[in-house]
Amino acid sequence: MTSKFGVHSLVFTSDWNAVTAAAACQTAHEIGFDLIEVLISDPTQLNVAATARAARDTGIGLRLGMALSPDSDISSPDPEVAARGEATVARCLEIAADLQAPAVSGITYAAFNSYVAPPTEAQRDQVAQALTRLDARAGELGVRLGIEPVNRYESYMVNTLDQGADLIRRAGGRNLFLHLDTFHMNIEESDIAAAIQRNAALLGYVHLADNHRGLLGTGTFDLKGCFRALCAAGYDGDYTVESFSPAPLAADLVGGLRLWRRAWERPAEAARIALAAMRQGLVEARGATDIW
Amino acid sequence: MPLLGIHALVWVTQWTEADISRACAATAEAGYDLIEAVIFDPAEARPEATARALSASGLSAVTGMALNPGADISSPDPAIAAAGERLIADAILATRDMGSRLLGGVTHCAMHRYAHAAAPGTLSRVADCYARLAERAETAGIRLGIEAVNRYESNVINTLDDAAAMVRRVGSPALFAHIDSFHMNIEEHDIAESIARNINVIGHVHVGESHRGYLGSGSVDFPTFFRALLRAGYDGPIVFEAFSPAVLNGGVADALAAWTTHWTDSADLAQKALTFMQAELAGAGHALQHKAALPRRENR
Repeated sequence: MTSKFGVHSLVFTSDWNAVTAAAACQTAHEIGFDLIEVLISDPTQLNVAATARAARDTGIGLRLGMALSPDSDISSPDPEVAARGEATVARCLEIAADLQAPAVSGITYAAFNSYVAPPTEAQRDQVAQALTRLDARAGELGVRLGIEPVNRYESYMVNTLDQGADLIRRAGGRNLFLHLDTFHMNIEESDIAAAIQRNAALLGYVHLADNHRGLLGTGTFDLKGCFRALCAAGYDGDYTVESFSPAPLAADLVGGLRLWRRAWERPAEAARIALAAMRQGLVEARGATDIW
Repeated sequence: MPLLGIHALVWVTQWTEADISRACAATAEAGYDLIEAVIFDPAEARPEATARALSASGLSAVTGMALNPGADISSPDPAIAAAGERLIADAILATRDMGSRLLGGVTHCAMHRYAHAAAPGTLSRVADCYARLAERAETAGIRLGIEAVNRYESNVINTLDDAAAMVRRVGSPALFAHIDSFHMNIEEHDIAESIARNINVIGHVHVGESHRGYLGSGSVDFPTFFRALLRAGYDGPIVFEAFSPAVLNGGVADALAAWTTHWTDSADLAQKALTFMQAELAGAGHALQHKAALPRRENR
């Protein structure tokens, strides 16, 4: 496997339809990205055919992102809500298979939500059991399911790589993996390089973002150190940039992501700057970590 | 050397008489000069007990607060905004009565996860409110802080530039910008530059690690942070802050999204934080002096 570079769909639009999908895939491809991560806001609403067409027409690869919601949350003590959450993840796995995307990942273990209490041990077990079933379903479909640790304000249960790895081990699946995100790691990890090293065997996908989630490379996050740690750990999976600004997004997404500042105005420019930083970062890190 | 302090929530989760004596005694024992008390409710600030405990332990105090969704000066609802202004006005008086001269915290909006961007006109309403509150603060002989906090805790003021712009807009010497390394680690583009260009309005500093646990065990670049403060000549208070569900009651821990127990032993944490801050300040001081003492180079 060789690392590919991707860009998140929310860099371009939060309204993913036939027209915007075609435009985003075209722009991403022209800039030089290998893949685009499409956020499945609602699996019943995603235009799968148009997404497949946009990818095929431009030759760009697809990955899928998702986040459960409070009324569809596999960690919920309410069995109906939990069942809806599991069904939502299962549906997203089917969409991945339909689109020939290798994986779905994101907040797949709980809701993207402001929780008001920490999870109980029973809830952890419940989620692990659901993930065991979803892992089996992923295997049948030939796709993988990623667990993305996110910061404390966006979810609970899995805020660090270690917590994500623990959940994967409890679930015991072969098709589950850890999805890193540097924005969240900058808040939650004690030692980013050590966490990457400890969990190297489970790493399957990386989101790159600066500490403020604006233009990549214009913040305080140690991107260089992170690339080095990933290369040293033998990671050769994909890297996708998240660089967010209210500019191309609907008001509810701006609110959900708490994007109160306009980090940039032009999506293509933000994407281009990010790709240059990603390429440079990976080349340098490989130079520093290759055995010679 | 700036006064080094510690946040009360490292020790206690309320401010009862027993909490007050315990927090002050533990703070003094750990070697700090100052404690930051949290004013949850100005009517329950217990100024006499606070003053007694401070004098018994030889500490000075600063105070902190946070607005809530029912009392929020940034709200377009006049009743909620008025309740927010009243809460701060009362906290100003409580601050004075507790023997503190400085009130910091999330005074610009409710400390919670807003679902939408601030309404147009919010900044000018907030500025008008701060102008009135600054007069009250001046009358009470205290200064009122505007703490820049991360995007999940405010949709009004997230960066030091935001806070400094508000202080300058209002133009009162009774207002200051309050910074916090935990929040800066999420929101700033360049921490040293931001401190340098806003030093004349910075009045209070919180030192928190990226995950709000032990200092030095996360991703905050503390050498850069402390060097920037010393280089700019900061001489106000510096207060260590950390949060753990091991100490906090459910409501407070949940409001802070403190789901993970990063530490359990308050005394150990406090002592190591003090040693850490002293070492960082000493190192930053040496770095500054070293630069000044470089031998002059001959022109070639």
